[in-house]
Amino acid sequence: MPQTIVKTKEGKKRKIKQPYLAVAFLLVNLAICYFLFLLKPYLPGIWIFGMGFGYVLQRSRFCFAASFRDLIVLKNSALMRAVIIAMIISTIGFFLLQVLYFGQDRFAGQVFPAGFHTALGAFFFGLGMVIAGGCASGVLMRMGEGYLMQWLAFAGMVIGSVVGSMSFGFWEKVFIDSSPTIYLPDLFGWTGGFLIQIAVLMLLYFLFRKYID
Amino acid sequence: MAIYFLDALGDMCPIPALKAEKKLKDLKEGDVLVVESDHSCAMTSIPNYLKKRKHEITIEVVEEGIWQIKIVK
Amino acid sequence: MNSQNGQGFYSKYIKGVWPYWLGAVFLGLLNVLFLYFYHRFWSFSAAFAYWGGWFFQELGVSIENWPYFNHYKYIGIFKETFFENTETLLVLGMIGGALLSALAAGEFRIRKVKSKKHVYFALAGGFLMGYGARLSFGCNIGAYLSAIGSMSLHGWIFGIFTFFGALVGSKILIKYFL
Repeated sequence: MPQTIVKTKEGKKRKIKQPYLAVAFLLVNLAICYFLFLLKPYLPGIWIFGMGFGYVLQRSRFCFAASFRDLIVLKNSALMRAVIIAMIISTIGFFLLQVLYFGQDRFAGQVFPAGFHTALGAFFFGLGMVIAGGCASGVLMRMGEGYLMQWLAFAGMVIGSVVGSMSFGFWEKVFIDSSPTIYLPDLFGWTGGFLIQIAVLMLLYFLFRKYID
Repeated sequence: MAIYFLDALGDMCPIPALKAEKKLKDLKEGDVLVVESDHSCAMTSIPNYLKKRKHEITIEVVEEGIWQIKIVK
Repeated sequence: MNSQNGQGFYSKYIKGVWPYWLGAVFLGLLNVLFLYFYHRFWSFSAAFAYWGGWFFQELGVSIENWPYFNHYKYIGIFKETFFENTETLLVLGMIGGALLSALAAGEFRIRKVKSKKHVYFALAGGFLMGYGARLSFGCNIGAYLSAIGSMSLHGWIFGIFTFFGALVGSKILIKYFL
């Protein structure tokens, strides 16, 4: 494990001031939460989750673009395997909540029609994320770190999203309306779908570990 | 034992790792390559990438947000 | 003695980089918790389309009948204001969380764009991401992590074809930047 030493170019040990800015920023966040609470009581929670996601992403250098890119260019699957871990946990949690807790209110998940539009959209997304230097969450993460390039990517994302939403009608008519929504629990039952997906994810995990690392 | 410097500031991952690998080819055993990068993922991806070749790798934080990755061939 | 412990904790957990698997565990757990509290998984790229929609409304353009906002869950645009919108708060919160993490570890730095090439690639790449995410009903979180977590096939298709896009993108990256 490489060691990390802190010193300036001149060789002196310098006290880093940024952590104090971090504390100040935390206080700003308290104020943000307060004003959000006045707006609607459940909003601060969402903000805190956003902060939590962003914090974890930056702290662990987690980037889905890198998970694909490292696989392709550096022949390293460490990040891809981490993504699989996150998927496994999400699947388990989703399954337990849907079956045990949501009961009547099913389909709290992200379930949408799958078809050519998905493939094309994903292809665009994959191409774009690699040349922009980050996936959607990666761009947000790097914006917080101070990378101006990702602020530009963010601008591009907003514009692209708006243009996409404007042209959505076209894609609907041509592909989406006639595409099936394929939901594993519909095909195999809740437990069946769950077990199959976990099995596939774990298989992928071990294949990656064995062959690409 | 020569020390070589690779300026990868402004390059986004995976370019620093690829540039480092390219430069490393020209080095003799015992030479040191110092890669300077301001990309936070480089400090994880470069060691991950080169660990198979058993190079000794040290990471120094030079300034806030700039890392120097020292690779001994 | 106390400050010794303080130094250890700080440098290991706040200044230190977390391993990928730990980040994955936290993200997975946060995602499930989010689902528990808000009855929906983590997803946010729709925010950008909402901002466009609200912008058009400000300009006086009617978005009432746009298919994008009426046919799926994006009807929220008519029910929420900017700061009430879940996706918007997630986006802004994520930027803030990353900022907090970077500051706490002394890793924040304004990194300027290296060249015009980088500018074009960032804008083009971002555009492709935004556009593609609308077709796939989400980005790498909403249409991939959360979609697969929800056991929907569209998430798997997203993953497979993102790989192909990344393949092409990587070739382009190496051609122009290495």
